[in-house]
Amino acid sequence: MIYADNVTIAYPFAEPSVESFSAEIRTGENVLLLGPSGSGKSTIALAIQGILPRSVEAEVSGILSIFGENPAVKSITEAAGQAALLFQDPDTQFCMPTVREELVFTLENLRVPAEEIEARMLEALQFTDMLRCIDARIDTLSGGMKQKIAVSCLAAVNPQIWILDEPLSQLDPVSREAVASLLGRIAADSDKTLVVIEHQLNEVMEWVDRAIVLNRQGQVSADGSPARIFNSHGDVLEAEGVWLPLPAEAGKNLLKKTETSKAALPITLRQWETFAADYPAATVLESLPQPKKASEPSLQPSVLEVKQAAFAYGTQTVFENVSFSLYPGEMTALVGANGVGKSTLARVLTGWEPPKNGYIYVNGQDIASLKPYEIAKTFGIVFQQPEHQFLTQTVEKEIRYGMEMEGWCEEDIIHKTNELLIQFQLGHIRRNHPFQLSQGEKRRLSVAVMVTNNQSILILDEPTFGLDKRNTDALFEVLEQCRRRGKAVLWLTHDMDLVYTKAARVLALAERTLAYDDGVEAFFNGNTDLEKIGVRPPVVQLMRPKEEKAGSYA
Amino acid sequence: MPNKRLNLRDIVVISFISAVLGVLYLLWVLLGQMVTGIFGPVGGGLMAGFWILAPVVCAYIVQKPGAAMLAELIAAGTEVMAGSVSAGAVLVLGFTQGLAAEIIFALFFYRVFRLPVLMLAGMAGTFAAFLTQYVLYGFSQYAGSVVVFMLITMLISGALLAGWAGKSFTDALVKTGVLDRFALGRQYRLEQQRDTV
Amino acid sequence: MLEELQTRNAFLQHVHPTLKLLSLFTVFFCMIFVYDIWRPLAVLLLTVAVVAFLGKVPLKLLLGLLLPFALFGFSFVWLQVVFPEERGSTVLFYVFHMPVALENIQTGVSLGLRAMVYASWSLLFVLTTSPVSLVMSLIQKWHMPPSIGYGMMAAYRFLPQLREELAVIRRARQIRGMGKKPKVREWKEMAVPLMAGAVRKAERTALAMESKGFDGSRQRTRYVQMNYKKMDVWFTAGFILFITVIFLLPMS
Ligand SMILES: Nc1ncnc2c1ncn2[C@@H]1O[C@H](COP(=O)(O)OP(=O)(O)OP(=O)(O)O)[C@@H](O)[C@H]1O
Ligand SMILES: Nc1ncnc2c1ncn2[C@@H]1O[C@H](COP(=O)(O)OP(=O)(O)OP(=O)(O)O)[C@@H](O)[C@H]1O
Ligand SMILES: [Mg+2]
Ligand SMILES: [Mg+2]
Repeated sequence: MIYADNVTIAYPFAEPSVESFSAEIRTGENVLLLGPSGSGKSTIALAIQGILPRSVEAEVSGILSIFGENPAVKSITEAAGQAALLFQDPDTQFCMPTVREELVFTLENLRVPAEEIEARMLEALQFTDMLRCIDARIDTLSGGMKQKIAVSCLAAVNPQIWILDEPLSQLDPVSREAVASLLGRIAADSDKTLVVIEHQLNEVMEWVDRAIVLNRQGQVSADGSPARIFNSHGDVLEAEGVWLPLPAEAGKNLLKKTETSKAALPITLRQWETFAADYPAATVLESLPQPKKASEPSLQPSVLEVKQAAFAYGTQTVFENVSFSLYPGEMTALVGANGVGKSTLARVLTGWEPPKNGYIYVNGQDIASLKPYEIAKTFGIVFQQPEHQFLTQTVEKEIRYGMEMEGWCEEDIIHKTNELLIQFQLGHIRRNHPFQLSQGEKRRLSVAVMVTNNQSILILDEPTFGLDKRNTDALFEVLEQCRRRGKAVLWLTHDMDLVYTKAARVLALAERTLAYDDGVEAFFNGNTDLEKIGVRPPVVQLMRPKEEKAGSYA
Repeated sequence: MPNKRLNLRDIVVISFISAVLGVLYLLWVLLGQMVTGIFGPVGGGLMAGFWILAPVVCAYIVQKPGAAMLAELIAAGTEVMAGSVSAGAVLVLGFTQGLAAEIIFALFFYRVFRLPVLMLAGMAGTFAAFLTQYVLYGFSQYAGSVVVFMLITMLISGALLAGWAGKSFTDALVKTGVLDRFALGRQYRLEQQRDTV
Repeated sequence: MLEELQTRNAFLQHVHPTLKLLSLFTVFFCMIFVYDIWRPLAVLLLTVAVVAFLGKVPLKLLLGLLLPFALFGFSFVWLQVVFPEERGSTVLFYVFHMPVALENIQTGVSLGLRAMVYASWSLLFVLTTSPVSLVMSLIQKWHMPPSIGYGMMAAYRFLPQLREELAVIRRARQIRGMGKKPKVREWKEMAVPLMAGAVRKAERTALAMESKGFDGSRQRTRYVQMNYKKMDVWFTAGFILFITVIFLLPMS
């Protein structure tokens, strides 16, 4: 029903983003589209609904047909009713101000009879457990809440083809699980076809029955059942820099370590258990990634000190009584459920919004007394929406901007720019417009422009969402460098596996206040109420041999 | 690209641009009222060109029939929805000003959008505003010299505030790349490419 | 505050927006032929009373909004006195040797009042009509193309975000343009990115609309119906009476 033969897609004034993509997807299949960042996954998603080239200008050649017809020549309404699309960028999802109006608008477009609209709307919101937000204004919802509303919109349409471009990437672990299992329910329906694009594979592995892997040029480099792909094309995937399901990754490590071989690598947790059962617990444990040791108590003065800070939007309190300090050379993760106020806290910390109560000291000075440019000298800030910080017209200019402002000499600028372009894999698109990049490329650029400066504190709001493995590794290499040079690095994230392996210290927001502030090991060792914080233990921890799980190791 | 119809994207983009300008119009009205109250309609005439920005900017960007008219109507509509105290006059003026600018672009078959044409469109807009106000506010009761003088100031304002300022603002906007998918942006990109080759 | 007024539970707020719009234009048209003082004055007072009572708009607010128009209206008076089409014969007094005639003052006051009448009717419309219901009724009753209607509504809804957008742009400049002090010119420089942001947002909205199956056609179901009701008959009857008494009777 989705048939692509030799499809090549090129944006205006650019090399093709997708080259001779061929695939045939039958009704009821649940397909995972995998590939490095910038390989054209989102481009293909847009083409399946026909939005590209109808409204997004691009040259499409080859044969693409949905239900036997080219989607671009179908009527808009018909195309939307057959295949609904969840955009990767949460800002592109919505056209109406409130949740209710958005759903009504969608259903009216599809000519659902007026008397049925109410019922379908409520059902769709119940599906994602967002009924309480029915009259909320969409622009006041947190990133993750928006994502759930977007899924509700798809549920309201109830199309035969669901195209989901990173549906889980901005969700907190509990919501991830919930939305993933909702999608699992759709996947189980043999009339519905799912095309999912996702970097973090652990949840979707439960119900995906086929994987198509794209290479950097957007060609299909592997296609088949997930088990087969991850077993026989593991090296291809690794070379492309995409994530493997964590059990597969760990399985590979284990095989290498023990110099044994096995018929099949595990790709789900359950498979991992039987897989690992054949090895001694100690060996298994050694092959798994370890959490960072809590850093030594710092002797240096803190760079950032938060005292009893509180914040509210109007009368709605977001948090209160938040106190902590950041020290030079620390790598800290800030976690918490969707909408708990992480981004808001980041805004308050960096002096964008004054706290309603309490104080924030930067290098011993009250932030309220600092001028914006003085704050800018101290903080490197990466917004949750990468686009919010782009100021110039090309990737290269964007990177140069900060250095030019600081008055570097031309030679240094060129040198550093080239280094960053390579480090963040942006060289091939250096002349592109920042707004016309893929989501992952935007994310990388927004980080790259921030690490050039000499600020003592780096605050990054979800710096890894939408990044493939290679770029995530590259990012943390850079952050680690910064940390070693004595910067305090604080990043907001929902990815507990990253927290587990990369952060030394964890801050957690829950129930309107700071619920946890200590080392990462202690956070996951079973004595913290993770449920209350709204997170789940990392997968790599669940993969530990049974008797080790409770955290008896020290 | 002449003889093409406005599509949804054009309409929405025109709406957003005109709505933003509509808000500015409202602020300008306050200023205009003060100036008019003190210096009379003649002084107010010098402000008139500002209200023709939306049709000039949008037609210049989209370069399709109907853009100018639609832009001015939406700008007027926004003013009304945002609570303009002169809703009725604003709607009537929005219609006539938009129509006048549209006619100029039509006379050039929607092919020429150089500065002189944009200035002409601005002047046509203020001329229409003049006629409308002449009827609405009973200008026939004033001495001919005042009326003529007022017309002249309005025409100058239309050429400068709408035509010239509108063009230079839009040209700055093109450089940000957001207009790449519209006629104007495409031309700019093509020119740039030619320059680099 | 405006929104609260527009959705108050009062007579005028329930009248169909298209009828209010139509009557607004009718009044505008009728006023064009009026050069005496009493009729505009009567219309003005009547309108203010109607808005205050049938629209439950606080009188103070209403007068406050009309005040700037008095200034605007006054300009008609002095212009008429100084530069009349034709100087009147009943000279009242002289200002710097310039004769001031009663006829000219009368015409001036009439024109000034006319401007105030326009303003008061505009207020009647604006203060009692919510934008959403206006657009919806225009789509449903006056055949406004839905793509324009929804496009306008999206744009209108975007306006409150403009302030937030401005804050984000300023913030990004501050973060990135380190050590650079804010300038007065900054505001001018921000107009372009602000408009660029609006254009980008517009494109996204259009994209989202299309992906949700919006093709701009009239064939869509209607969750909210904008139908004429009994109130509308009363309003129309009252309005016809008002026009007849004020504009038509004195002519014959
Ligand atoms: N509107 C556009 N105009 C021009 N080039 C674009 C546009 N959108 C994307 N591209 C380019 O096309 C390529 C493929 O982009 P696409 O968004 O499909 O990648 P992706 O596989 O979804 O990546 P990611 O995982 O980072 O989201 C990228 O190199 C990108 O720079
Ligand atoms: N501009 C705003 N006006 C009113 N409320 C807001 C605004 N921005 C955010 N909120 C509310 O404040 C709360 C915290 O939002 P915030 O964006 O900080 O959450 P978050 O922890 O970053 O979530 P996510 O992980 O989903 O990004 C949410 O309930 C949100 O609805
Ligand atoms: Mg993508
Ligand atoms: Mg957030």
